[in-house]
Amino acid sequence: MPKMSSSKALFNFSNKVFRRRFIIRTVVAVLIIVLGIVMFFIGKNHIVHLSNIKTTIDGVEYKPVDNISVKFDKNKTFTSYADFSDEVSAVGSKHSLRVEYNGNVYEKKFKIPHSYRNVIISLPVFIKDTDNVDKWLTQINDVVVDDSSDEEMSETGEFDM
Amino acid sequence: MSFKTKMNNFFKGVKDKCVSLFKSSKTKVLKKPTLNGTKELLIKNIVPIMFIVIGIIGVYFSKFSAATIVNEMLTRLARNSFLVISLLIPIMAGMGLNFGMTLGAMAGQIGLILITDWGIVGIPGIILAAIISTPISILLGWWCGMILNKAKGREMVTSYIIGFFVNGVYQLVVLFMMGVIIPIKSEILLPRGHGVRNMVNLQGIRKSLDNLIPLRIGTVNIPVAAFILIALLCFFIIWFRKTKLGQDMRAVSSDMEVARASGINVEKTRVLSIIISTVLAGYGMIVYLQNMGTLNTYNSHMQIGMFSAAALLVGGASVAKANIRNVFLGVILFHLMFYVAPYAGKNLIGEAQLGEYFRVFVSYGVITIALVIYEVSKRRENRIEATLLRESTEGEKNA
Repeated sequence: MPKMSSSKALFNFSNKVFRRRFIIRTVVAVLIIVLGIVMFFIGKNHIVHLSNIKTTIDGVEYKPVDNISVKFDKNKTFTSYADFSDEVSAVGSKHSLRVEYNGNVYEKKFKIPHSYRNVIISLPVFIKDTDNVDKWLTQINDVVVDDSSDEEMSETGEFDM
Repeated sequence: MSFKTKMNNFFKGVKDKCVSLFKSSKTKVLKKPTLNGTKELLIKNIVPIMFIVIGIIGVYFSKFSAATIVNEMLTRLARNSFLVISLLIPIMAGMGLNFGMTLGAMAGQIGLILITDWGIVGIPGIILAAIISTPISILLGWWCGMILNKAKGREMVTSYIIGFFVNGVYQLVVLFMMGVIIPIKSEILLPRGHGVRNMVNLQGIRKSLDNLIPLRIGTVNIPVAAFILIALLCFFIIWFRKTKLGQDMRAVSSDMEVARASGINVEKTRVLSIIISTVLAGYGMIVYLQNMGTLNTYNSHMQIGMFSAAALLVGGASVAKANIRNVFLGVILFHLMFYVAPYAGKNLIGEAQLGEYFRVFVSYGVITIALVIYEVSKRRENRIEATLLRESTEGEKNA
């Protein structure tokens, strides 16, 4: 039987060296991909608008509430006033919201879906119906600012070299 | 005493005598004439000395406080060192300054564009950008290395031109494919529906690494995490020199034919050195841009190769020899000049633009000077070796 060349022998899975290298490299590649996926989920940033504005859902009107204490995740507690909206940045999918109003505490741990970039949380609805996340958490579509005049690239290939 | 032992002793004696004769003849004939110690030191370190003088003059006229300069130097050291260190491995393999590091920089930028679009922030964003840039850097580095193997002896100019070529491909991808073939949904997309904006705000990852372990001494901020990362890379380089691959690279650098004859796969070793350099350059670009906080999509990478090479040469490195000491000295001196020159120009003649011209002129100039000095010293060494060889041949004939 003709002898295999060294390169062919290396790609032979029965070759111990090739098999060991192949397994190690595959495991490393898989670990890196898994790490990337984990980073993708834990590093996702959401812009959360904490709205304290009059909201109507299914014909029911929720009036804004004045002077409530709001704590989102580990951020500093702030006071929200009626007819105002605040914006916070939230990283990851698991979050918590704590609202204090009239001596009562409303607290809920919830998840923001990964595909939601901008979300709005209605604080009046949250106070009335804390457990119904779908009711007070809604996605808002990305606002694309049309400022085409600012810096559109030339198509002639004239770049600042 | 048996016959075998006697013979062994005889051959050992003959061998020892031959070795001692060979050593003595070698030291007698091949002793190179050396320059005066101080003069040699000055010639070898002319570039760093020049920059130390320029730096001192610049600092004096800029009228900056020591704390301001230290703060700025630490920031710039943390920002640029990673990129400059990425140039060390190709020099180790005798391939000169890898201007093809811009390929890695482009890969790093693609990673950053994608994480910005996906809205991944902080350290996870930096890690994900590095993971995305790695396969692109490996592919580009492999391709660049293959071309450089076909252009042995002209690696630097070839890698420089490859950088321009890949820049065209990068622009094709970022300007025309992103938004059409590669989905981009955030505000970084141009309103026409394809192409990424000229400036991408990296607010999400801005200073994430620098501020990971905050340390403030007086008015000086020290980016501890960035320095830890750079220290790890330095340890990697030191360890790498001692590995089989590192030794192979040094052997290839000394003499390719001898290395090949001794069983080293020269081409593969050279390609690997370029791949490692390109991957590190990709990571370096991510570290650099997280510190800057904004990405100039079409220009950020263009001058990175030149500035990094200039910084390394300012530190006293040559195209054939560089070490970690050269990196840090070079980054400090080069960026000290970068920082103080505009202010010194403004204070001297009331024109900050002078400093801007000066620093661009100096960065190109220093590469030229370093290349000229290297070439002159190489020719001088060749001439001396030729003279010594001639003298020894004549001596043998006379004997």
